[in-house]
Amino acid sequence: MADFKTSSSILTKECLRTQICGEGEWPKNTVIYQPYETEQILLPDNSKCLSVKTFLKMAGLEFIVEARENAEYMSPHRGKVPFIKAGQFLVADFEPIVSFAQSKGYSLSTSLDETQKWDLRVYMALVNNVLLNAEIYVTWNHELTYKELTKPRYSSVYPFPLNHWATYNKRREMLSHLDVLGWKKKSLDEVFKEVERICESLSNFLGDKKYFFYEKPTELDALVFGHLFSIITTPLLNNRFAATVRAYDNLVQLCVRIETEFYQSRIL
Amino acid sequence: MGNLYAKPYHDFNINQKLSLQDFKLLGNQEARVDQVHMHGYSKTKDFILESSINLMFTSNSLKNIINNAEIVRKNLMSLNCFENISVNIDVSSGSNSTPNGYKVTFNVQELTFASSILHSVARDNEGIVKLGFKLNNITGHANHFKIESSIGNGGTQKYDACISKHIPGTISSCISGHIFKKKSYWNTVHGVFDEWGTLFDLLFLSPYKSHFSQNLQYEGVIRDINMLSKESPFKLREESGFSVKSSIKHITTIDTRDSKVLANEGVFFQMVMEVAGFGGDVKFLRNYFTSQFYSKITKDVVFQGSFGGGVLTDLGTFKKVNMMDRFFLGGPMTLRGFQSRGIGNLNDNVVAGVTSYWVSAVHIYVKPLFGMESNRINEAIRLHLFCNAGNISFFGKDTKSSLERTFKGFRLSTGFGVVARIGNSIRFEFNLCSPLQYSAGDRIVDGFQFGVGANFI
Repeated sequence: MADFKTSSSILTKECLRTQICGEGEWPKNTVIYQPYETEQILLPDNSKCLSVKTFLKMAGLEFIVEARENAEYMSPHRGKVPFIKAGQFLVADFEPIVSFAQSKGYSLSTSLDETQKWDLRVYMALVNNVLLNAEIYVTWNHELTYKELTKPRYSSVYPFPLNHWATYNKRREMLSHLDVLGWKKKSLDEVFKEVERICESLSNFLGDKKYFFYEKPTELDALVFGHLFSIITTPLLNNRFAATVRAYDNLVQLCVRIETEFYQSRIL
Repeated sequence: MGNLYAKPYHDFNINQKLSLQDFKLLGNQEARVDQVHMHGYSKTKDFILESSINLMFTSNSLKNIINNAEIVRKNLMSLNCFENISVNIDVSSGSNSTPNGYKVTFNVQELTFASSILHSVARDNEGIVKLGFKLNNITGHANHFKIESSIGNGGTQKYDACISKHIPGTISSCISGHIFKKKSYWNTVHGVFDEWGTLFDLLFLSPYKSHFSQNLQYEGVIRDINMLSKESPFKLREESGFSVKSSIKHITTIDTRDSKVLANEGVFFQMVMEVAGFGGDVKFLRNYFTSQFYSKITKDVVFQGSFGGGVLTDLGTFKKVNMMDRFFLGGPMTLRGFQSRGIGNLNDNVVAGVTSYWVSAVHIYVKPLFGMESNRINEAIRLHLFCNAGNISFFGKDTKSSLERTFKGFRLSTGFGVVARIGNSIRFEFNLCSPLQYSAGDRIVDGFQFGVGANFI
């Protein structure tokens, strides 16, 4: 038995290594786990899920979407959705998934030169820092949105008294996240001003190009599409958030382009 | 034991010491209790004590009086109001006395209002230290309050606030309410379990035969399962997150053992029935039982036979029962020779906790100092030879095939070792185990295994 055990553990390690190093082998039956779209998911999570799905579609990687009400607790990085299960690997969040795909030899940014790669990284960080935080702010810190939309949606999958408990915990966590980044004390106007500013710079960067880096879509396109499309299509209390984004015509056009190219079924 | 004094009846010479025969004669002679005195209490209310003491007036012989006095003493002690109680039995004198009358005096010493808690318990193969404080007998109605925190060597943390009250009567009962927070770990799969909950418990004790008790409990608890490592089995990971259990539990216990840990004779039987689904999101029906039977073969050799089992029926439609509800088998105190929760293949997509199990054990205990009179070593340590068998299975709809599966490929292990008793509830075991029958995927221990706990098979 002992011999069998050691040999089997060596085999498992070997398997792992070939999976890590093996290029060009995107694991079959890759599953992407996310919360329920119609009744549960919130704006920030929806953006991230959409970004990941768009990235995988752009890279031509196959995946199955599975909705779980406890997706954020199942995630290997607690609270971060979506996560993918690729073979034996669990990877959560947009950027780790991108680098995981890269390690398998699937990347959308290989054709870029050094400066473009820097631009890509800078803009991705900007989107994550501003758009994501703005979404979190609106969802969790804006009192009225929290009461009217966030709380009923987030607690919809839980029975009493867990609906209050879980929502309270999640809100506390999100607020402390905003607090650390200095977003909690901002007013709604300030937040929208930030959004406006990033939209403007993204819009300027995009210009008349088809995608941010000319003809081929990159990770940045996937990320921006995920966020902007979610912001535009998610019904909030007033459409100020969506209106801020809609003001930039070329960004909306980018969303439409990606939408028609990769998601035929939906109409913006 | 309290001090028990008996003074002879008028006809006997007072200076003469009572022989055993005299005492027997005296014991069977008709007698009645004229008066019962209680001394030494100030805070406790009278009516709390009355119902316990009433038993004294039903006694009809001296032997009866002595027996009843001991029962009353035990009942009074179970109120948790007194530090110690001594009993004094004397012939009654004075104008109200009858010819066969006796006077019984209980000298009690009340507990101080506040006291600290520091003691150790063992549970689920883990030694736990409890720290805290309690307020005794707050208003004099035998009501208590305590707060304690427990820390175990396996990482378990528990904080518990408890308020309890004794209700005296022909069926003595105790109501208690708990609020607790618990954190425990399952290291093999890197799992953390958090619980926040309340527990209301109604305990019925038959006062004359204290070995029979029943508990009726309500438990409402929020559970959180967190899998820390990416290597945790995905099947278990799927169950992570919050769930609420709201259940009613009924526990029947019969315990005639002479010691809770190293018994010589007696029977122990405990049956737990639990129905969950009064609110909350898990619904199930769970029954499980443990039984132990002890018999003395010779003066130094004790035989123990144990059997236990359980069935869980999932009544839920949307949300399934999770790993905190299902049964796990294996461990140094149950199915020896296997790791804690070590039975069943974790990577298998099916076996992550089971819905039914059975486990059995046969022990032969030998006192280490063979042939010697009972002494401390013989009381605290025993050598034992054991044989364990058990199995896990999923109960299906088809009874016949379920029954077949129940016994197909059962696990068997044997071995010998040392059992030690610490205090009156902690059991240590150090065994050399050899699993004889097991399936692929079981986490076995072929060699020395150390176990500590209060519940064992």
